[in-house]
Amino acid sequence: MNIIVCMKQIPSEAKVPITAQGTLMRSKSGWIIGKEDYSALEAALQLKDKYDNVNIHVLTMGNPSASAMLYETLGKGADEATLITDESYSKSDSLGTATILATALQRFDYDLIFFGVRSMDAANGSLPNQIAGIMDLKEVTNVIEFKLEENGFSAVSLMDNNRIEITMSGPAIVSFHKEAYHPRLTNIRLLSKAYEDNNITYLSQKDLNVPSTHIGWEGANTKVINNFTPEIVDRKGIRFNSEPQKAVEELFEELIINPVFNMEVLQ
Amino acid sequence: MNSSRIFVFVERTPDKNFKKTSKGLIGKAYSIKQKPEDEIFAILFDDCSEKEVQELSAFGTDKVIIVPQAAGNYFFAESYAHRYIELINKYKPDILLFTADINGQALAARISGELKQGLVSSCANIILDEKKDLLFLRPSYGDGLMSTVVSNSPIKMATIQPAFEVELHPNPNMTVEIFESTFSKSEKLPLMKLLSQVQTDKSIEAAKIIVSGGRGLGHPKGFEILRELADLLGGQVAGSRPVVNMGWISSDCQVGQTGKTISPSIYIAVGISGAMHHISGMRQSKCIIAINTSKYAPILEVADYAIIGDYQKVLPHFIEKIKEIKKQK
Repeated sequence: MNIIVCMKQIPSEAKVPITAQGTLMRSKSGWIIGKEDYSALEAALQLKDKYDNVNIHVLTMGNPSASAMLYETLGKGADEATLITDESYSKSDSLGTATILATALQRFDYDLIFFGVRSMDAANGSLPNQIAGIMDLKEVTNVIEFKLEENGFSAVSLMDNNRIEITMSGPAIVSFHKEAYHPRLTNIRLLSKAYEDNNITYLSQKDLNVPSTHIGWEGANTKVINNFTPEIVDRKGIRFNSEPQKAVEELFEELIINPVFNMEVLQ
Repeated sequence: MNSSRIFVFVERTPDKNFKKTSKGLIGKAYSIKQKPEDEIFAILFDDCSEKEVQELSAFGTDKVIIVPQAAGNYFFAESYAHRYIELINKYKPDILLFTADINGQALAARISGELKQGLVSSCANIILDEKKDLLFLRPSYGDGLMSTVVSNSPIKMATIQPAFEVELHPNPNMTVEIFESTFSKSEKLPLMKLLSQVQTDKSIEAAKIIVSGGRGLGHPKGFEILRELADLLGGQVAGSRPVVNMGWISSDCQVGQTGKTISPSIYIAVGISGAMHHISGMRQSKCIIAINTSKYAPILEVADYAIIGDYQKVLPHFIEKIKEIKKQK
């Protein structure tokens, strides 16, 4: 069974400078792996623990430094890793990114493709579903439990306040909820071996040949035209600076004449 | 220029009422009509009669399309998308709007991938500029910044954060169509079984009063006093993204861009600085009270009332005061 886990480095800093096009200057921040992506990786690793024939292939797209993330996943037990990196891919929008990833995925054997339900930086949450649409694959979203079954798999998905069990056959795209699986520690022996073997596969536009109408800023269907700090001063905003007990007294003098507070608390 | 058509994906709750967020989304669609003859189509994947959808005429809907027994009883993105695309091919809409929740986002993204049309996700708002071009406003990465986004695709697609306020624009001429999909009833669907439903009366979306905590609590035990206050007020406890990520409170209770958008009557924000991602999830609350040690915290800009101080010293007095009021009743 071949499982491809798609993951992404996200900035570790809360404030990251942006380019004129409104995209993040990712090289100006450290990076971490999002909880959602760790959840997808751990789901695959637990299947590998349980079954003999599971091969885990981690795929990411980013700048060359993203190889560090791939080594970490190999150190946790993934079997192979591929980094898609090309200057012309930066500033792609989500549909462009989905197109590039779908093109790369088609080169590999897979039974299941795992994602985190969304990345924590852009938080679009659209990539797994866009790729499923492009590749015409079945998909299950926001999964909190996953099991292999005789003719496929079953997954428990959190949908709009319902927990629904879905049973189907692959191939399929599965996206995981951040609380579903928690990442194991990195095995230092595996990590060291990964660095020694140095066998990450690199793919660029030369290999993938994605139509230029889809990639980068030029190919983006959706574009940021400006960034602004919104004026959110739409409240009367009474502030109380006195010491705590007095401040609470003053606050309640105001609250008892507030109609909403009156209706919800006083009546 | 011809008139344009806006598709709005609407849903009903298990007790067969239209979701508040669906009505809010029709309201958003109404606000971006460029011309009076532009048409709003409400698309409902559900079994229901023409009579049951009449309510939607109040918000300016021109046509309701009911897609019966669309995909068994539950949402399944692939099956919904195939039918939605049939409707797109038939009616040639110019704009597709969805609520930015799990189902709306999944369906929108699937259609975006199949039709190769750009999608702007989790917009805080959509507006027309002075040239009547459509602009999508969405929170950018990090604190305090919004981006204005345009779409060059022939069909403009967006998911919009839940909106709860909706103006009335009664349309006596609303029509209803029941759409029979060409997909056969034998379409191969996965087996789907409902395991449990989150009790919606306990969810933070349903609560009238929310006491919400942020990183400023300092430690997970800080939620104890918040819970005490919430219980006293008959409300629920919620939290910002950092405290959910640190595991101080469960992710069902996360307010903000990557959590839930809510509009309670009273929102008490304790130790929450107010990143844009958080504010976009709670700013529609009717009365906002903030308790924060910093007089520069952005949350103060959206609060009706703010106490500048340490919640550990302020909340005990706050709780005493509420108890006093309860006694007097």
